Amino acid sequence: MIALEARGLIKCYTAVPAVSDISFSLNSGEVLGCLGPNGSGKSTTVRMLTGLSEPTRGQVLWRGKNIQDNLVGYRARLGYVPEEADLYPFLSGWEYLELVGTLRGLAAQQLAKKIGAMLELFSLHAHRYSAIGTYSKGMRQRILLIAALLHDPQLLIFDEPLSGLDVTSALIVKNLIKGLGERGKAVFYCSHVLEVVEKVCSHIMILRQGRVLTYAPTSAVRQAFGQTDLEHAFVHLVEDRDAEQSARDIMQVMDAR
Amino acid sequence: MIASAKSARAPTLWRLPDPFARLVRHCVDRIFHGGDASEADGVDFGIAAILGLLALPGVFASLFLADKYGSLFQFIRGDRDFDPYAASLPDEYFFIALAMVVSAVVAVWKWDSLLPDRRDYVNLAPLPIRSRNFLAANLLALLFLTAVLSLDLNAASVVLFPMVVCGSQASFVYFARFLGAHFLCVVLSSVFGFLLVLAILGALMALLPLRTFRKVSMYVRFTIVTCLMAVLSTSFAVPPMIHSLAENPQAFLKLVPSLWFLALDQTLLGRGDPALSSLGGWSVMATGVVLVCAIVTYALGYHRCFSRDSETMVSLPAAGGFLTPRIFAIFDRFLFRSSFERATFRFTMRALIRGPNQALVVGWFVGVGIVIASQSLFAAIGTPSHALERFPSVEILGVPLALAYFLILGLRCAFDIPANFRANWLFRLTVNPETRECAMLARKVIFVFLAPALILICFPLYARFWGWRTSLIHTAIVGAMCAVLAEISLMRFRKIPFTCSAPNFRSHAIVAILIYIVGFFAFSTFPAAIERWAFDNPVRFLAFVPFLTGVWLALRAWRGNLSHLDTRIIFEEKLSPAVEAMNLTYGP
Repeated sequence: MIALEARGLIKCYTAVPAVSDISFSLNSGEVLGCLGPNGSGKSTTVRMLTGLSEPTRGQVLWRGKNIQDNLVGYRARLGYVPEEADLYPFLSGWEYLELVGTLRGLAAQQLAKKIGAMLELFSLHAHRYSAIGTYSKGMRQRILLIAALLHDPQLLIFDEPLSGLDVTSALIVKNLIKGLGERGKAVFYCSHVLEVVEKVCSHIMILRQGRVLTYAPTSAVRQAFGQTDLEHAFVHLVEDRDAEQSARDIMQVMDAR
Repeated sequence: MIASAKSARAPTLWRLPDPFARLVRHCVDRIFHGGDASEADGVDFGIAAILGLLALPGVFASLFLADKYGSLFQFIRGDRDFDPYAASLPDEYFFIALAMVVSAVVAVWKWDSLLPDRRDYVNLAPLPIRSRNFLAANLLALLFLTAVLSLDLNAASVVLFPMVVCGSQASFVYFARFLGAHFLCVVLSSVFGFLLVLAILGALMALLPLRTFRKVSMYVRFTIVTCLMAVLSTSFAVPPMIHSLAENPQAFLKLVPSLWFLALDQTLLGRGDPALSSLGGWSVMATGVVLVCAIVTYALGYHRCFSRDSETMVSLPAAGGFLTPRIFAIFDRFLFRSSFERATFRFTMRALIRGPNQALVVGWFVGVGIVIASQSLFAAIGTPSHALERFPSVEILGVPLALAYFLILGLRCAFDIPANFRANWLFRLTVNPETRECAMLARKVIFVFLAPALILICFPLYARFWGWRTSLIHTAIVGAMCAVLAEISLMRFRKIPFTCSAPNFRSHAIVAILIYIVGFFAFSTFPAAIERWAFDNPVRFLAFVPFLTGVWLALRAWRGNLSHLDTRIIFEEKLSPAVEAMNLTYGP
C-alpha cells in the first residue's frame, strides 16, 4: 500500500527551480534512500515532504490525500530527524524530549517511561540533565533520533541520521532503520553515505541538480549500471569531474609558496 | 586571491595585529556574546545596545530627581531653607547601591561565560596558545569589561546627578568636587560589585568538584541576586539610620558595603561625621581585596576547569532538579489544561530564565520599574505627613502599578525575542497552527509572575501599614489593571513565546517608546490618583466598574472580528518590503 507519494514536486526560490518534477512513491515497509551530491535538492525535497515548505507546484500525498489538507494529522504520524541538530541549547536532553512528547500529546507517565528507556538505550541517561548546549554533535543527533521515535510514527524521514554518531551508535541506528522497515513503517532516508544506503534501503532515488536521475530498487540500480557496488554506480551517474585529479590539484595548491 | 581575502575581512573598530591582543579581544567578545543559548538566535543585541540599556536606569533616576532639587519647585513648595547637599545623601546612597547592584547583576547574568567553557576548549585547545596566555587574556578582558561596565553604568548619573543637585547653587568648585566624589564612589562601587561576584565564582570553581559546582550554580546565583535586592532595598532604610553610627560604633550597619562608599563620598566632600568617615577607607580597601581575591580565585578556577579537568568539559553529566518538576506539576493541575499549554509553558519558563537575551530584556524593564518605583517611594517617605496617613498617598499607591507595568511590558517584549530561532522547526512540526491558545498561554505566564508578587508582597505590605481592607481593595485594583494591561499588550499576539523571528523593532522604535511612556502615566499615575480620590469616599470606587467593563467588552468585540488568518500561529515576522507594489492593473 502506498504510504507517501510525491507527484511532480517543483520548488522555486528564485527563477531557477531548486527541485524540478520530483515524483516517487513509498510503500509501508519500504526504506527509500535518497542520494545526491551537495545542492542536488535533497534537503528541499525533505522540507516539502515534512510540510515545512510548500511545493511551488505538485503534491505530497499521505495515504492518497494531500498533506496540505490536514498537515497536523500528517505530522502526528511523522517522525523527522533533520540534517542539522538545531536544538534548544538551554534545555537538558530530558527537558527537550519531554517538550516533544508533550507537544505530541503523549501521557506524562508513559512519556517519562519512554524517555528514560530511550535515553538508556542511546547511552544518554547519565547526561539527561545536562544542557544540550554542552552536548557533542553525536549526543545531539541521538536526542533527535529519540525525539523522532517517541510517538511510534508511521512515517520516518531521516536526513543524514548518522551524522556525528560513533561506530556503535551508527550500527544501532542502521539496524534500527532496517527493523523499522520490517515492522511496516515507511522510511525515507537521505544520506551521503552510499555504503549505508546500500545496506539499509530497499529502494534508491538519486537526485542531481534538482531532478530525479534514477529511482528503482537498490539491486536494480547496481545491475543497470553493471557495477558491483553503489559507489561506482553513483559516481558514474552524478560526478562530472575526476575526483583523483581534484585531490591532486588541492595538494598542489597546498604546496604553493 | 589575496586581494579578495583582504576585502572580505570584516570591518572592525579595533583591529589588533598582535596574537595576544587578538586573543584578548576574542575573550571580550566571548564574554559579551557568550553562552550557547545566544547562538543563531537571529537577535544579537550587540555591545553598544547592551551598554546603552544598562546606562538608562541612571538617566531615569537622575531625571526623576529634578523635581526634588529644582529651585522653582522648592519656591512653589515654599521650601526656603532647602539644603541640596544634605538632601542628596539618600540619593547618593541610592546611586551607590544601584551601581553596585547592577554591575553585580551583570556578572551574575554572564556567570556562565566568565570562565572558559566547552566551546573554548574545543576551539582553542588545539591551537598553539599557552595556557597562561589564555588565562592572562581572559583576566585582561575581564578587567577591561569591569572598567567599561563601571563607566557605562554610571555615565549618565555622573553628569546628571551633580547637575541636578548643584544646579541651583552658584559655586562651580563645589559642583566639580561633588561630581568628582560622586564619580569615584559610584565607579568604585560598580567595580566592587562585579569583582565580588567574580571572586565568588572563581572560589566555587576552585573549591568544588565540577559536578557539584554545576549543581549549586543556580542556587548561588539566586542567592546573590536576593542579597543584591536586599542591598538595593537598604536605600530606604540606611540613610535615616546613619546618625545612629555615632551612638553605636559596633552597629550592624557598618557591614553594609554600600555604606562604605557613601562614607568615602562624604569624606571627599568634607561633610561626613567622624563615625561615618571612618568607614571611607574600608571602601578602597574592600575594592582592593576583592580585586586580588577575584584574580587569585579566577586563576585557580581557570586552572581547574580549563587546564586540569578540561576533558570533562566536553561532556559532564549534571544532576536533575528536585523542586522544578513538582512546581510544574502544581501548575499543570490548577492552571494548564492542554498538552500544548503544559509543554509550551515549561519551554517558555526555561527560555525566560536561561535565555540570556530574554533575561536581559525582562531584567532591564524590571530594573527601570524598580528605579522609578524607588523614586516614588523616596518622594512619599521624604514627606513625613504622607507616610502614616489613613490611606496611602498617590505615590505609594503607584508603586505596585509601576512595577507591574514594567514587568508586563518586559515579558511582552521578551516574548518577541526568539530563543535559538533555527530550532523552532520542532514547533512548526508538532503544533497545530490553528490553535488559539498562544495568547492564553502568554497571559498565564504573565499571571504566574504577577500573582505571587501581588499576593505575597503587595497585599501583606499594604495590610501592615494601612489595614487589610485598604490592602485588599488596592490589590484588587492593581490585579484588575494588570489584567487589562496584559489583555491590551497581547491583542495581536499569535506566537508561541520565543519561537518566532524578532519583529523589526527599529522601524517603529520611537513610536513604541512614546506609547510606553504615555502608557506608563495612563496605567500607573492616573489610576493611582483616581484610587486615592476614591478612598476618601468608597462609593467612588464604582468608577472603576464601567471602565473595566468597557475595556473588557471592547476587547471581546475586537477579538470576535478577527479573521482566521489573524489568529493563525506565526513563526516568522513578515518584514514590510522596501518598495510596495501598488497593483494598479485594471481589467480582466
